Amino acid sequence: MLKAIFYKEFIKSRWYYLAASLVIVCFSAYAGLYLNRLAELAGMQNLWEYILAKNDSLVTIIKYVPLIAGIGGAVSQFAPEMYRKCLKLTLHLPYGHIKLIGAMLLFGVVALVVPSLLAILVLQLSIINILPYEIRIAILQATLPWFMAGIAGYLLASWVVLQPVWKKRIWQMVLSAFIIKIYFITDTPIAYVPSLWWIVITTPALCLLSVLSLNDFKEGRQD
Amino acid sequence: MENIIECINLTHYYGKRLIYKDLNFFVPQGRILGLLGKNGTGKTTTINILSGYLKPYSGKCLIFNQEANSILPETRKKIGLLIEGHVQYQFMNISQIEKFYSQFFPGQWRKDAYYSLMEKLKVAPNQKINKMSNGQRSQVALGLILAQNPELLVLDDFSLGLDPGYRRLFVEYLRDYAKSENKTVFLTSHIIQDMEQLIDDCIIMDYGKILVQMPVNDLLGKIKKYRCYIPEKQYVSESIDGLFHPEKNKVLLEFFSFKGEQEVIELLKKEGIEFTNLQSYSVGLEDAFIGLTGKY
Repeated sequence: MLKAIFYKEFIKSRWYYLAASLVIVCFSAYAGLYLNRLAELAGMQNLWEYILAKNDSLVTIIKYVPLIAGIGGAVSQFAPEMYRKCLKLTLHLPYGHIKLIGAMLLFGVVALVVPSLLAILVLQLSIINILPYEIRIAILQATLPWFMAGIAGYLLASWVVLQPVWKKRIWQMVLSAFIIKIYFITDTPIAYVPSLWWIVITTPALCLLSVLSLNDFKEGRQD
Repeated sequence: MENIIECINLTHYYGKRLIYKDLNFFVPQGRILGLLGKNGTGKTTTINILSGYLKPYSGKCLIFNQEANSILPETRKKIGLLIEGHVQYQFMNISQIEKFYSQFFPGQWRKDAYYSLMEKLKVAPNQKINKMSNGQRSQVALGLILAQNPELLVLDDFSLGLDPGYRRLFVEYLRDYAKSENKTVFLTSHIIQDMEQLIDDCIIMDYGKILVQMPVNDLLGKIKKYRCYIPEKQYVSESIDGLFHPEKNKVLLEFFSFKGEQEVIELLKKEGIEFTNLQSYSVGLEDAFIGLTGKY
């Protein structure tokens, strides 16, 4: 049945996730090419010095891309479910409601994690010859919160889209904006190092919020 | 006969607006029950409560002896649900949607039932549902329910948006299927003629209450439309116990009643109504519905 739910999600959002994956990977590749170009023009040593002295990862072009992709992913998956209350059909399937929503969210998370990992790999491989290991790790540490923001954005947007009551939706959007802000407090490469583990652990827990919206839907709450 | 659906003392409000209070009804196994009511009387509310998508203010609904809002997944296999407007996954095509649903009903899924209905539509298997007409979508939704082969069918306003041909097709298919397989059906529709050909029992709802719950044949056998002539200036109360919705048009008085002609004569006399030429008529379900609920 998990396979069937994945099949439905795939049919529904495959073109979106394909496009989003391409955009994420392309932006990452562009950031890598940009660093290569800088190394070519300014020299590798000057580039290292600049990154270290200015605490600038120079890859901020990809900063909001995973977030936007994540929010779009939630809309592509859950807006069709809310259209004419199609979610009723899904919840009528002979499968536990928590498992159903969990499987749908799992599909979206996987569809975002795969291109994110690919994007990280592309970026790291593209700078392997121009930056030393320590700086490459610092860039990884700078970009990880942004990619995690993509997952958080997806889970929070799912919570918002699944909410049947508009007043609550607005309140949830405001709260989501504050949560997302945590992932973008600073661009300084190693600033998130002490809290990275906390971000990685707590971000998936945001999926529990969708259960709250689901309960509101099941109880027939409306404006 | 076992009751498949039991609604006990169901009360619901939207905000402060009472939809109904202490609604009680049951649907025995193998019967087709139609819920009739004007717009806003709570038909869809009842379906939503029954299908577990609305928590009633008080009271409870049992389906297969389980509370409607906590039906086990295994029990949901036995319930076919048609949502108002024949809603289905718009992003899928005819074969994808069949492939998707079939995986949830191993051992009971009837692929042939679905595709035999799809053949009548003369559409390609890769035809997307969002590119179909209302009528075609209704057949997809019905085909999926028939393929699921559930014991109970819950259909919300199945005739919404359908032209007469598709309505007839839907009714005939459903009637044959339910009767040949002894299925239980609970349905609503705003087109009463369709119901007359389909249902065994009916519940007629008015604002806040049930007016009538009985087999359709009993209803049509008992209710009569009466017509008589009265003086133009004769006052006729709108609420005479035993007469439904008396309507005066100059010298013509029309009303409906379950009472026999002699009883009606006595009632009119008791009310001080001078009348002549009282005649009674048998009526169809639509007239009976309008007679009981009124035109407005």
